[in-house]
Amino acid sequence: MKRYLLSTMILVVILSMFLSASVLASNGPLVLATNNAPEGKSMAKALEEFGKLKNIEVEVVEAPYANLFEKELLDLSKGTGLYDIILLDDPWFTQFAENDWLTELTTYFLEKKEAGLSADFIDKSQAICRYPYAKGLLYAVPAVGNAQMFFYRKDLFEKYNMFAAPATWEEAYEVMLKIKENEDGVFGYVLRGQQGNPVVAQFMPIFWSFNAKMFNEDKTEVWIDTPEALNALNFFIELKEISPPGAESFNAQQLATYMLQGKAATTINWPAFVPTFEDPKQSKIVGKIAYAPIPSAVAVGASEIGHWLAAIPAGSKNKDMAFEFIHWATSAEKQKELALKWGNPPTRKSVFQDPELLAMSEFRHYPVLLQAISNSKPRPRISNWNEVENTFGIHLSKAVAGQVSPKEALVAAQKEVEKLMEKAGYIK
Amino acid sequence: MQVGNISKWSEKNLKYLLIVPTVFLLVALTIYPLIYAVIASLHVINIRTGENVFVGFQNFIEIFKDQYFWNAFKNTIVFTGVGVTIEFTLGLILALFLSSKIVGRNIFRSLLLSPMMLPPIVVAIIFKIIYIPEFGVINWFLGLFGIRGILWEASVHTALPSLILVDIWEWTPFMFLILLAGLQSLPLDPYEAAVVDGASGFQIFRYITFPLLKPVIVIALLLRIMDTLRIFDQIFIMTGGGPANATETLSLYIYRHGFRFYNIGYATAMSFLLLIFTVIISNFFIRFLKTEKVFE
Amino acid sequence: MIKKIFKYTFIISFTLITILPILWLISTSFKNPVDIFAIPPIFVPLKPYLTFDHYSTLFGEMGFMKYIINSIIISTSTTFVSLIIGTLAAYSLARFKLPHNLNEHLSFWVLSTRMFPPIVTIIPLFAMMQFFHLVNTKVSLVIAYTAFNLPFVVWMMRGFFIEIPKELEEAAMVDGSTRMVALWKIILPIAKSGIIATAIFTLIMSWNEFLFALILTQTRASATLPIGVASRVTQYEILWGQMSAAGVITITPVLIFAFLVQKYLVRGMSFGAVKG
Repeated sequence: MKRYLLSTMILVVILSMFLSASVLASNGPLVLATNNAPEGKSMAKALEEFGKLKNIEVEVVEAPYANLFEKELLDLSKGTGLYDIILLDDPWFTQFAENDWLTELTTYFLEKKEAGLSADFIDKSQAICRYPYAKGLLYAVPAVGNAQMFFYRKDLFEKYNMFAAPATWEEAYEVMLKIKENEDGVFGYVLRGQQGNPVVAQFMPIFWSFNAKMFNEDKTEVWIDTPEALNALNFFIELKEISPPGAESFNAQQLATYMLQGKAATTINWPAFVPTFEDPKQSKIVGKIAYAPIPSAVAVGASEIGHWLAAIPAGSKNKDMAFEFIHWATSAEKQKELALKWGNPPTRKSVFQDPELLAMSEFRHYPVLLQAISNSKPRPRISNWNEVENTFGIHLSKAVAGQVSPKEALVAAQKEVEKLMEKAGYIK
Repeated sequence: MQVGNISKWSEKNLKYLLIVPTVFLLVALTIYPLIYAVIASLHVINIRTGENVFVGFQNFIEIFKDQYFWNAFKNTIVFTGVGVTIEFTLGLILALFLSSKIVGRNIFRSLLLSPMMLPPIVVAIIFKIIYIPEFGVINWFLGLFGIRGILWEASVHTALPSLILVDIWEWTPFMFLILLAGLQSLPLDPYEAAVVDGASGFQIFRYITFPLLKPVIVIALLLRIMDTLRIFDQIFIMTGGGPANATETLSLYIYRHGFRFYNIGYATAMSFLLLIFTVIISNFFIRFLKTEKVFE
Repeated sequence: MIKKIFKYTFIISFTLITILPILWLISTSFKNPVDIFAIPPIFVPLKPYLTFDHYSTLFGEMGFMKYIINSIIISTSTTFVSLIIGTLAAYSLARFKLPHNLNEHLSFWVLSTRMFPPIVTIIPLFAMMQFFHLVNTKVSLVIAYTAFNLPFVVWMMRGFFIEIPKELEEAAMVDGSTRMVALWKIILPIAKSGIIATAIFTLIMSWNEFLFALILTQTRASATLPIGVASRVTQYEILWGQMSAAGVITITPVLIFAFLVQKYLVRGMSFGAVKG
């Protein structure tokens, strides 16, 4: 019996030790939740510096892209208040803002004697921080200026007599096809076709350059099954045909591997890749890549905007300090420093046009990127975007894999997205 | 007096006292979530307002009409059925071979057991690196024999088999371990008698080993089926359910609804169905065990 | 003879298939990024292909030591706690006759909790941990893993105890020891290899678990190794080398450990549980 009592007591002691330790540990630091990619890292580094500057304790929670959303959703929807600052991908913004999970920021700017976001931020970058889009209240500050660009192998394009950046898909495709046919083991394009977010992000710029739209202005009609969208999807499949086999499962990693090994001539992707492509330790194509805006088809090519926004959860207990950090980290001076040190793409015009940066070869894509952001389009501003994107992505994935015809894919996507929009109350 | 009374009381009720911690923990961590799940499965959360509305069995009705659910269900069944069958067959052959006299038996045994010790997430990374078309080492190797162009998890046609292959690689050792342990605990007498009677190797297996081993086989299958029905980590890291939904399993589909689409009601309703399905299958096996007098 | 050749060929080729992927992971973790997908493949990265960069990044910048320590604390505590609690319950279920056929009902119920898809339990579990202010603590994982492992422990240990003749402890009790002392001094030593086998499984399960850790832990204060590994699966960087190195760090302790205790594993499993 004694043994039994003893072991129970040991157990109780152990458990209570853990409990007290956890209670003691759960107070204080300024916590940032961020993506574990380069974009997230620069913010994490900035926070560490900020902590030293203000002499406060800071903590960074890094999660892979696929898990960051879940962590933030769980924290926001339960009001746990684990995080003081969150970095969020802009398509998540509508849901977070519409549910009142974020802190409205204008009052904090007023305390600093500023009216709101500085006019130095690019207009398109500002617009996605407001709910409703462009006109409503301000819930976030643009932190990482991502928009897609067209990456192409300048050396190969010149070999086939194209010396300027391709302006249209037609002329680009002609060269891509020649490269695929004549260059041994080099594919004309590498398509990011993995089901879900990747394939949709890859398709949107092409969708738009064929003048297609997903919804009407007030989101009461779905416009997926249209002739414009069909042209876009047909072209998307042509791109897949000059891509490496298996492209229907590729995400950014496979894409980059093909580019880095010199096995693909072109792709569409985010500026986060630029430092990798220019790093001789990883890349066989240093200095051979050029960056261009998305080519046009029937409409002017537009990239998808994919900013990372900094926001303060409504449940945070450290709001003043959190705002202090966001304000500091997105200042022109700091953005320039983050660009220099970590290659973080800025969101302010003055940083994009900074003569010191423009003189350096690592930043030779800045004029293109600024233009890309200024001409960019956001993903539809709807709260159920994740689910809509997933559904659309399944059908795109099926079309790319050749399981259904493009027309069938669009008909099915149209029907299912309509149902989702009804469920969320957009279509009455 | 207290001390004496307490110890007498606890001695008398010892049988209950000993079980209480286990029951308490399991109730707190499984029964409570279950009740939560039941309630949640009868509600729908409005994604735009956060309003939680009672809808009765609507979630369940929709699930039955949901083609993606049935697709995931089918994939789960195929994955479990094919995977566990092959794991069992290979595990049994290995166990039979390695329970006999073999040079270097212990070395083989240790090496063969290693995959089941690895975290599924590391296994996923290993196979991601090996499978990548064009650059992966496995295609280079097959290329030496003139086999080219297998896309593994990258193609709609080979994605599910490729993932099952990973599962087989990781979990055959588990089958092997349990069956080997089972073989080693079999009584020797029937074998001696059989050898005296001049029975062949196959006859010995068919009429002695197999019947004696049956309870062990049932347990091995039961454990693996329970785990495979809820497989998540590897698929999540390797394909995320794609391409074209070819590798979407129930766990993945539930996860997507619960954590990405914020359809918690729908997700819990589905997990409820998965639970019921698992219980039915397991019950079938346990019933079998009971007739074998294993589960007294 | 032919049979023998077949047997050895089968075993050897299967063993190769088993270990080559692991060796490939190790080799990848020592290669420069640009050489990882070189064709023909580089099997053993010697100079100039050899690099330790991935490891130094993980231990330096990524603070991997913290994950290792967390994993050690969490998996050993889990093993310890679930073995104590589970063994006691298993003993009672194996030895006493409970009213209303409770033995059977409880045993089945305990086992059935293992059928729960973790997906069902995870959201309510998060809510519960939040209520007790345990989110992002090591305790939350120890509690969750203990509950997760208990059915297995109870089931295994119950099998062992049924196997051991009652007379052994009855003899000791006639000599005046209490039941608990008899359990401690007589029964547990007999069941030693079974206990070790059970402990190994519990340890491995909690060392490898991913989903609960993903949801219940947030920062390095409590995150475990699989979370550290997952943090290297990034979207825009091509960290094959770091991913592999993180994988190697995670599997090395388990593999060494498993190698050392391998004999208990088979012996322990053949003793009791699987035989029933």
